[in-house]
Amino acid sequence: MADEDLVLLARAGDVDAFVHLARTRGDRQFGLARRILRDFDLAEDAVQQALVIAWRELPRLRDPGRFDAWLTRIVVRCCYEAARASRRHAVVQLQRDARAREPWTVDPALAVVDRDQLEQAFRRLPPDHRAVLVLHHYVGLEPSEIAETLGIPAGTARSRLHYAHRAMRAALEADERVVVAGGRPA
Amino acid sequence: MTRDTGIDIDIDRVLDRWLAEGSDVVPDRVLHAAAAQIERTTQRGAWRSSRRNPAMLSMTRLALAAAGVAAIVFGAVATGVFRPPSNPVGAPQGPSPTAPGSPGLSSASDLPARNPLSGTIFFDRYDASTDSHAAFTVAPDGSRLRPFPGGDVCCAVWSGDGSRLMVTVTRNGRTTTAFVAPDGTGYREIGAQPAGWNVAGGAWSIDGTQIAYEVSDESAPAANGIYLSTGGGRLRRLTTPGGGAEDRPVAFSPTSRQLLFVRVTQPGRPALGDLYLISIDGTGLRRLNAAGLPVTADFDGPASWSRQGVSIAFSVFGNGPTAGVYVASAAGGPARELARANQSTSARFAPDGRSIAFDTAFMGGQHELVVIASDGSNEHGLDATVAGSCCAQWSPDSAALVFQRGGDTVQLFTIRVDNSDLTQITTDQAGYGDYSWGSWVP
Repeated sequence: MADEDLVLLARAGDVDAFVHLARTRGDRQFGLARRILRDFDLAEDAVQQALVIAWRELPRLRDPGRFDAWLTRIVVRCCYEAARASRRHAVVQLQRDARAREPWTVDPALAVVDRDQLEQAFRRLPPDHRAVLVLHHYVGLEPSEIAETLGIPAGTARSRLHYAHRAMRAALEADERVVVAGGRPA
Repeated sequence: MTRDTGIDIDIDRVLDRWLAEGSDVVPDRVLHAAAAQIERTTQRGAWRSSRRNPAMLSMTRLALAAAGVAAIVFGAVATGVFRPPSNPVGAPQGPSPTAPGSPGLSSASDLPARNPLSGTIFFDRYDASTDSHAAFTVAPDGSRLRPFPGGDVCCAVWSGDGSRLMVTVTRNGRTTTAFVAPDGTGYREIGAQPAGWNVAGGAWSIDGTQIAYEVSDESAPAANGIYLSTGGGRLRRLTTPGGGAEDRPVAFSPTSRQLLFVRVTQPGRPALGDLYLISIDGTGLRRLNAAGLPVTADFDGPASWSRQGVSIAFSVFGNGPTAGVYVASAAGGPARELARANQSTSARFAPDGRSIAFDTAFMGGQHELVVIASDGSNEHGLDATVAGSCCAQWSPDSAALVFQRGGDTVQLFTIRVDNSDLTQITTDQAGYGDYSWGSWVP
């Protein structure tokens, strides 16, 4: 059955159809949330909440062909909320850190120091800037597609991407300056 | 790119690689938890014996199973998505019920001191072997269980001050209405009724000035309808259903000037129809549910009034995005959806008007009770009521609910709306009919 048919069924209240949609999109959406939030538990919460919201709001989705973008927007918004909540509960956040170190495949081409700098720089970004970075580099969306997905002006998407890139680059360059000054071997 | 440090960083490539790191497998527990939440907010409903014929319970359940409700959860499980969690949906997740007569599970050291639940619960039990009811009263903690005198008695309605009960009595195949004190004393039936009429007590206004009866006459269906007591034993006809329909009173407004009733147009199991509001002078007849979105007349009625009589909450019985709990203004205008709920039997305003209790069928036929603020916020399932719980009635102080749980045989329970003090108050393996909670204490 085509995805759009599944969306139509789910929109009409067919839980089975929604289950299938959730299963086939769950991994990707979880990957998105985990990258934006940089926290396993928060990402779990965000995706769970997003699925519940998606089920509730599905009757309002007019175009079934837009389901994936629509679901992504919900997940991103739930990530924003989760990020806000984590700031309100910093103590809880500290307790979650151990979970963030669960097995995680890495690119050997990236040095440990790069990865740490990227992590720190990324965490300093506001959630809406993190979202455009992840949508661009992980999901593979162009700025116009990001704008459409998030329901923001294209200029805003480009602007957020620009500033996020600049912040990330600055963090790496600062690290490189320190390393160069310290005489790291080539 | 090159900066003044002389370092070339391709930030696009770096981020592509860095953000590609990591696994993308969503943990099962995320889907389980989402499923549990979705179940609580979607398929609603539960089955309780009909006000008129509790034996309908199992038939109704079978009909629903045939409709494929049960297949949903098993299908979902088969997909491997919604694997049973460690504490599966459908298993009681709250405190275990206590034995009748014992105090609640939570000890005094666990909870802050609270007033004990008070009042008296009237319930009737259906005996299929004799096709008759037997009535009882019991305290909210399961103590003081006492048989109620009067033979085949059911369907009690408490007076506004909690001092009297209006009950429906069946004798020699004919139905009449009686008034009696909760301790069984002062029994008095209404006066002589026309030959062939069955007169069942339906609604009693809070100030005691109005009583609505449901009249039926198998040999002369034209007489069927709702009649109001005019004093002196006389009745005045209020509604004329016609066309083979049947009108059942639900509740008077707090001002006693209007009456909610259900007009049954689909006498199946459960009986479905439309919810109407009418002034007691017979004017202002208005349907509250939208066309094609039926309510059920069983399960003690689908609707209730807010405390001030400004709003009416009711459940649209069905599946899909239009099924759920709606709130209508008594002054007019279309009803608005308050919560999604499939197969919900009823929506009950708490006596204090702050909350509404309704029931919801889970996937696979599991169901639970849900409480929502009257403005639609703070919807939450009562975790301890999952696995076949439905059809709640409020305590007079709005602190607790009495409800039933089970399949072909059910038990009655009480629970506080904060999910504590789940208490089983009956033990007989029987089908229970109506039950209601009054403030009377012996």
